[in-house]
Amino acid sequence: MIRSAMIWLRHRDSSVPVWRDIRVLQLVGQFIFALAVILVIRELVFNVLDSLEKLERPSPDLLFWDADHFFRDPARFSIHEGYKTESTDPIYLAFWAGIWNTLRACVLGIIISTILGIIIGVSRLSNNFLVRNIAIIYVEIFQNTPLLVQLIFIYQGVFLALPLIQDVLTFPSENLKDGLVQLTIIAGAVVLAVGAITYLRGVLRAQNGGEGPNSAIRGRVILSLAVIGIAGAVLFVLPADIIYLSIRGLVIPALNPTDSFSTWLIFWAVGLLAGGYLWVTRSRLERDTGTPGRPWTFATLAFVVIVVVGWVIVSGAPLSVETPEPYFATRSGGRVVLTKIDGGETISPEYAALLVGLVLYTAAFIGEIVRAGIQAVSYGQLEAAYALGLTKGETLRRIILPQALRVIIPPLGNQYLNLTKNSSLATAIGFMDVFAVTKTLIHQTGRDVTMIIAVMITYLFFSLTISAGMNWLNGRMRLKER
Amino acid sequence: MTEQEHPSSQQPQRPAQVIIHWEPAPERKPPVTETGVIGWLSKNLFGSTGDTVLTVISVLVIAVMAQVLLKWSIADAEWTSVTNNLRLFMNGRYPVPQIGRVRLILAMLVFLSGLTWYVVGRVPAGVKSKGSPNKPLVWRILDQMPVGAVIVTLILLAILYGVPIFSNQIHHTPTYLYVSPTTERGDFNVAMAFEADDDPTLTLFPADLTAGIPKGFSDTPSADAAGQAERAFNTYQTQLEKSETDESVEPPEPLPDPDVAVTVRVLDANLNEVAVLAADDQETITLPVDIAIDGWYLVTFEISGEAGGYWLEVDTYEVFTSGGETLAPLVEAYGEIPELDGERVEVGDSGFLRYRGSRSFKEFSRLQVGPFFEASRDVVLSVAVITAIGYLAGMVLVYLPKPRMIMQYLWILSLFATIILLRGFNHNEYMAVARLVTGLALMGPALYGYLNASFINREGQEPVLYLGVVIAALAPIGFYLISAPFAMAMAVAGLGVVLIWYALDDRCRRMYLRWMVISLGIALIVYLLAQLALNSSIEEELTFVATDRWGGVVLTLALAIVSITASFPIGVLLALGRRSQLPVIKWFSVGSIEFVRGVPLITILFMANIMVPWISEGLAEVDDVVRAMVGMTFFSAAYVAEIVRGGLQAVPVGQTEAAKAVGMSGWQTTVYIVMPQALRAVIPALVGQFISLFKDTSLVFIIGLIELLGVARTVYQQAEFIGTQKEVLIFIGIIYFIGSYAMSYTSRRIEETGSGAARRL
Repeated sequence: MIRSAMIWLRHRDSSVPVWRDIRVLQLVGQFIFALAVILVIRELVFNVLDSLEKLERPSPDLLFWDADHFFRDPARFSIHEGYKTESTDPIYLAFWAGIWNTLRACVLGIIISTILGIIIGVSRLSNNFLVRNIAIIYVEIFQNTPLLVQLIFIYQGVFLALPLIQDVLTFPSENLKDGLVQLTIIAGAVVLAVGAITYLRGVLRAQNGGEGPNSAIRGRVILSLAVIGIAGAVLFVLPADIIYLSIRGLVIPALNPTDSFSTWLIFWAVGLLAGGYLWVTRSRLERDTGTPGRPWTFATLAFVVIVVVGWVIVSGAPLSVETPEPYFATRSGGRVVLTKIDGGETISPEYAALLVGLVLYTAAFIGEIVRAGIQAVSYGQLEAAYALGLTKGETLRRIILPQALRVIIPPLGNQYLNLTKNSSLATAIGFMDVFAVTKTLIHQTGRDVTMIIAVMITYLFFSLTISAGMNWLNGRMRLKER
Repeated sequence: MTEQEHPSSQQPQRPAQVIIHWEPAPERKPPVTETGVIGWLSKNLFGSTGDTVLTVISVLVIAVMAQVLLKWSIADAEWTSVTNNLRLFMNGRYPVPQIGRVRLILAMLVFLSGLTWYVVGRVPAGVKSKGSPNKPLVWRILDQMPVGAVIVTLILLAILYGVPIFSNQIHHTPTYLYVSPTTERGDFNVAMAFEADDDPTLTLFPADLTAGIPKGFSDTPSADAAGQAERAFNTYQTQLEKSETDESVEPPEPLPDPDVAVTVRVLDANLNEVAVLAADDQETITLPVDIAIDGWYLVTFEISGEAGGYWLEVDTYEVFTSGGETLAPLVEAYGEIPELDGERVEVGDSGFLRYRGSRSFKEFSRLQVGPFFEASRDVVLSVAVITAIGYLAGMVLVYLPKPRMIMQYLWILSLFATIILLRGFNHNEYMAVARLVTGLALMGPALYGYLNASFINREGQEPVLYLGVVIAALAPIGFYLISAPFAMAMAVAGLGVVLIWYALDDRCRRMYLRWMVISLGIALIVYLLAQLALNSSIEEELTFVATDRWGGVVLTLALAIVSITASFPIGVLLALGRRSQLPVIKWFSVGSIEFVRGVPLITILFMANIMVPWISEGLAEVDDVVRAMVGMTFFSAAYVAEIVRGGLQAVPVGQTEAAKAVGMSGWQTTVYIVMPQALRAVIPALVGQFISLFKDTSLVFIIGLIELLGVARTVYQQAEFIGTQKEVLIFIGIIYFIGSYAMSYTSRRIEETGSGAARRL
């Protein structure tokens, strides 16, 4: 540093006076700027500390790892969902529960809103007048009104308007189940009939010297029948009244791991590994020799077989299903009233409202991003693909998506960031996310500055993680240029 | 090329004879499936099997949703929670006598919008004026009228004014009072304000509680007498049913037969009897009351008997809510409520009773639509008229030189006018601002001269120039801070001006002189206005309204406009800083931008709310609204910075290089070459950011301010409107939607018709 300064001094063009030498001006300017920033920040920090002292408030304590930091004091309030904590648990556990709740909302929200957003974006480009306009109206409504208003509307207007616990709604009722099973039977029959007619038409055509029956039809009919059959079987076996919906939330059957769960998990890992290995080798075979390798079929089969074998080998089921049970209390006058639902997994109305609100809002934006991405692919690409004889699906997969994704990914990452940050609005509908926990803790402990810094660090961490992930993805998708 | 030479010789042999038809083939109609309604349907709705399935599903979805929505909004929704509180939504708790100021602001903004509408639509940027008019004015007005908008407005006005006239049944919700000896209130009296043409109809009819509360009206959930009576009846009924099926349950004691006599008197402000209504023996009595003069009227009751009760229906009774402030205009108009026997009389309050249960479409239009139309039609008419005036003014404006520039200055002036009107006029504050303006007016020409001339000053006089700029600019500000006499400040500043003058060369002196005259002219006008204000009563007229009285749309707009305006320059500076070659400035910008973008707005608002008073003792008095504005400004600045940075990156490097090649300095390149192109390129993104800022104003609700969403909460927490969250939230959602949509529409218009560069880039 000093040496370069000396060199610079010696080689300075002495005809330029010091106050006009741009390098001097820049250095001095930066120095003054840095000094001013440091002084201002110092002043602010000292003023805040002074004010805190004057108000006899505890000064900020950022040594979170210290043994006597107030994060180890009891929180004095409990959190009833997600990572549940008691009021005697230390503050850091409550804070962690808040982080966990935020994560629960964000991860699921990101996944669902991406799926919904893609549907919306594709619908906006649909040839179908109704579908296109429904998507447009959806996007305009959700983009042009504040998320907070939507959240409160969904919470107060929808989830708090659900029936009271006494009048709880149960799904599926016996009638609904029967109806659905009958529907699958009808659907199966229709598919079979359509398949048969198409096949016969092909046969007739062949007799007249035309094209024979399309070979793909058989596969499609079998696949559809299999899906419908499995759906019907599941519906038939499913016990009635296992889902309860009321103002207290949605109660669904819970899957609890049993003792053999960890053993079974090993099979899962092995299955994944084997599937991955098969996928890699089969795709390589396809690429090198050109014979169809069917990598996905092989990988899925291997995985399913290993997992099912694991299920058979481990003693007993690895997961136990706990169905919710209504609890009836007898009131004075002999009235029997449903007062609560025991067991099962409860999804609180607050969580559901937050998730629905975030998903609907973000999906509108993602829809626009997806639409812009698809429209950014020039029409010539599509025509060229069709000219080469690629099918619709192949064109979508190999031509449009890779190019559209390049446009889509950067703004998509921004939307994920927004969703994460927007999840802090949960505090307005009483969901205990990390910001709501922070607010409660500020009221409980009076440590405003520390808590605000802690929650800001948390959100910064979320944001940086998502940014890093999206940057990595973007780097992978980017066109490799010189 | 003949037939034989044709290369496709593999085709089957042609017959020897070739018949050529010379007449063209008869024109055939295109197939039905390709044109007209059927063609449209088959193209847009039933293109393929999948399309048909989608159409059927969509129709089903639309049908179900429309049915649910219509049924709810007609039969069940309580829109009176909106119509009764329109002023609250508009102004929040802004002092009632001062509401005219808010209206003035809105009129000004609407006028300017109309003006902008015409000017932006007609005059491309850079065009100096439209030339001389050569056609009659009326013809031009007709020619350039936005026909579609006028027709839509006329239809809207026709509906708003026509519907209430044609169905004269439409009126306010009648007020129902439950009159019964079992009422805890006992003999109660109610004050009501009538206007001469109100002519209310009073009806007394027996309360048949065995059929539930009649006419579908119920009281608020609090223990009102009618509710109690109904509950008592319900208990009786259930016990009776149970005793019939279950022998162990005793049959209930029979309810007492109705036995009640009621006399209702209407007294005017001088306690003279206007009307008397008496009922006993379970009969219905109706009496139209003739109101002679506007004013307070008292309704008194005499009740005797043991059980049962009557409903008193008061139709065409002006509805107002229980808030004390809604009383103020009535008290102002008619004086204090007259006292009866030396006791204060409570104001008759429609909040006692609410519609319950489903209602028919007729009643929906009578009770819900009518009042809303009545409340909103004058507003819509004024907005339409003022917009039209602004539009016409725009037609005149385009004949002046530089219409776009004048329009921009009008907008900037309107911002100051808005702040003064909204906050109130304070002479001392105004003088303080005036001094700052003077300081800037002295600094401005110097900076401008420096920027344009960039070292074309007299050889070797740079230190003198810098010294002059510092003295000229900082003297008024510095003296203002230590509150020394103004003359001394001006004298020192004059010294600075002389120094600058000395340092500049001839060309720069001319430029400097020109800008000096303009800035000092501005400063002089500011001062003259201040002197004028000192001698007038404007300070009493425009009393100070603390920001905690701002609310509703006013607060939402104030928050949005202030943070948008303030965040823009900060954002541009941050963007430039981020692109700077100087590491300190660059990393400072990067750090602050990324920090702000990494955390949610609500944490910043929370921090601003808690920490601002601690930063300095002078800030302890800063109120919540200003704290929120500070937080939102910093938040938005980071996003603006990122958008502007994108624009800066979009400007080709060649532009900068060319500017350098013609000898422009760094600042000149930035201000005259790079920035205009960068900003035009990012207009849509900037508008998008401002829309999201406008929507984000709703977040101040969480730190307890009463903006639009805050008002919504106070409304649906009022006792009489509990449970009307949906109606209220839908209403404010529509307001937000209109605001956001208008912004994005304007941005699209600017892109289409505005500067050519915006289209090119």
